[in-house]
Amino acid sequence: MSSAPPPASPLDSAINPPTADNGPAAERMRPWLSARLLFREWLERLVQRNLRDNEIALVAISAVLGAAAGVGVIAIEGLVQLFHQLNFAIVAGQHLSEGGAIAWWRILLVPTAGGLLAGTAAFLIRRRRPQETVDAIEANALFGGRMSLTDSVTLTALTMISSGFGASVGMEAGFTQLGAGFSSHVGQRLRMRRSDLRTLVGAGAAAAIAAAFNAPLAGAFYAFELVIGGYSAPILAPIAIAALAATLVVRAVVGDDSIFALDQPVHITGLDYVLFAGLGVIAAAIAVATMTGVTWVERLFRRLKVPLWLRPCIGGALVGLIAVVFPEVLGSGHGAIQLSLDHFFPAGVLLGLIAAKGLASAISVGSGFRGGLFSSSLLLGSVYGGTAVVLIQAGVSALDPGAPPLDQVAYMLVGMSSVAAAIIGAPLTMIFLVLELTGSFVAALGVMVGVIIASVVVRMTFGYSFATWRFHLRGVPIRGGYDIGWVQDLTVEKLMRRDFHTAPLGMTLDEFRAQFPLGGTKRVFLVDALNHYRGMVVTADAHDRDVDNTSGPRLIDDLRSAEDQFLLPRQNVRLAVVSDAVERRVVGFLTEGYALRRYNQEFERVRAAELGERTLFGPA
Amino acid sequence: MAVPVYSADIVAQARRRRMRRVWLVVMLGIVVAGYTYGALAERVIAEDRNDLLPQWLEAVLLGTVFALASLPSSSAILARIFIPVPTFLLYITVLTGKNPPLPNYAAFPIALAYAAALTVLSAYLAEVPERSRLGSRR
Repeated sequence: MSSAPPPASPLDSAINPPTADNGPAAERMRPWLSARLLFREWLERLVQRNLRDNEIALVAISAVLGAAAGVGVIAIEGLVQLFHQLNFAIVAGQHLSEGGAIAWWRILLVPTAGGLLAGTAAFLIRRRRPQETVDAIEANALFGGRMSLTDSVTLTALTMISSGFGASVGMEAGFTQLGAGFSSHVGQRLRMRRSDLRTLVGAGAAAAIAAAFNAPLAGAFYAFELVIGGYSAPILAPIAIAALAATLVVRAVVGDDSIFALDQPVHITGLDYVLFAGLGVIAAAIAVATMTGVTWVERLFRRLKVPLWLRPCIGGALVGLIAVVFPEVLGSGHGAIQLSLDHFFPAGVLLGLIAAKGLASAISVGSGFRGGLFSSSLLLGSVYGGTAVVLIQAGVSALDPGAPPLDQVAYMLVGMSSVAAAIIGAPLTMIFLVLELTGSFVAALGVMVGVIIASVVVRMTFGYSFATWRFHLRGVPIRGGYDIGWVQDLTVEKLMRRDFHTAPLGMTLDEFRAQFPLGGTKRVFLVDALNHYRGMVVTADAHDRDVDNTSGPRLIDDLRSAEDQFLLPRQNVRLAVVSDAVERRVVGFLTEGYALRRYNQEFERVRAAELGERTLFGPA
Repeated sequence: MAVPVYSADIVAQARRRRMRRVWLVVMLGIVVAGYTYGALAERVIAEDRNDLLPQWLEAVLLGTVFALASLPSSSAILARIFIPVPTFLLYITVLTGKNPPLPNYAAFPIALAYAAALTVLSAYLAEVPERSRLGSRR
């Protein structure tokens, strides 16, 4: 009787690979390979012994990853600034969106050329790696925090090209992709558990946002709200430490600069809070218009049958045409935010900037430039707030010429955070961002009103943030980073019982009864001489006295059933439900995930009925 | 030829689609008006600010004409006639009057591009069906 060879251990496979040439070169490599594999095995044992179930180790790893993300953000920002200096001939330290004296032909040509470059690069990459890049939210919601480092680096590079050539996109998507992707990669190499890996992905994203805005609290809450999908005490330390480490690295290397600074305190009166609520409602409308605008542009390109690689080029040309009139729309818009806060633009220019920035962002993202709307929404909201205060001031002055002037900066901050919170879907992040950047509790309080109203209105009317809207359009059923992927990971192997009993084919009924008495196991699986599955016997059927009264079966084989029905360990159970065994008319289907969900729903319904409530958790 | 009869929900669906389309056109008209108003405000050279109408009225008129020209109606072509020339004239003053001004050889083609873009976009919005019309062979 021949038996299959035992599976090779990783060490054996590496030392004696089946396809390796066993010549002198391989002989020379053998000690090195052996040492490397031994080191890896030792490291894995060390990690499993000391890092898993060790909260302090997780915090330490998060701190290191946070610092690394900070270095990454500094490097990327430096490279993008270098791109801007080379492409647009701006001086060092100047932001692209500050406008200034950029030659008109550069404004027209550079985004077009950048679009051609980004489109071609994306096209070639897609041919090699056709699957959609998994971002931090999707990874945590569906894949237990598993992300591809290669995809993350690629996407970050494309985002750098997009922003470096003047597309109206923010770099934050690239920062978070790199931070989260690198953290996930390290976590996977260290074989972290699912929950710890998800935490590390959140830590990487938190660090990236904290470093980008020099705001650790905003970074941490970005992770809680978007990437993890909630807050709990065990994840506070790793995520907060990562955000803090990234911020400290940035402050040590490039200083305390943030995207904007205020040179005077903010003043808010009682009436302002009422107006902020109204500002929040219109901010929600602007946010929804911007998000759907991106989709509309994408649909337009699809309908016109423009090749994928050419779309960013056309988008870049359109952005160039807009930027000839409004150069503030180029790039992420950080410079324009400070400019709008320092020099109060007239209402006409502000109104034009809202339309221009909204259009440029929608065209950039919709045409295929890579990047996000974080920074764009900040500028959009800032100019919206500026426009609103000018119009409100005009109205108030007309009614009461002696009324004190409104604080323009406060309205710009409220507009900025309301639009951004509605687009990004992270209200607390925006409140903390304003608090950290201004250091003003008064401003944060005012911002809170606008942000809450805008978030509620978008949630009630539209129901998505920009990230979840994109998932929705792709048919990915997630509303945030909350882990729902575990249900899909529940394969038969994870669900099955392993305490089974077998009996050989050909066993007599009496032997079977003696070996498996009533009250013991409920079913026994029959196997042949090669130990292959041959059916199932219900123990109670074998003990049924009716069997003895007939001249029927005396061997256990005659009582077996379900010989052709079995599952494989890697399967997800998805079975059709048919009307009966003969007609087999399909009346439905069942999956484990759905069964679990229905179980939870029924459990919730019964429990809520006991408590006298309609639901336990409220509407979804 | 018999006129097909549709159920109430199909008719309601078609009405909702038409309303969405009109809503889109109105929103884009507002964007065009806002953008143009902002662009006109960018002019700093006095000769270029010497308009026939107030700036806000010019912007509102252009936005309204664009919205009318984009409506899914056969008479939209009448409004579309009024897009190219006014757009070209307005944007040529913007491009030559802003700081820094564009040279004429650049301003003219760019203003033409603006006029062409608005005209083509309005034609697209008016003529391309959102979905196949009920009863059509498309």
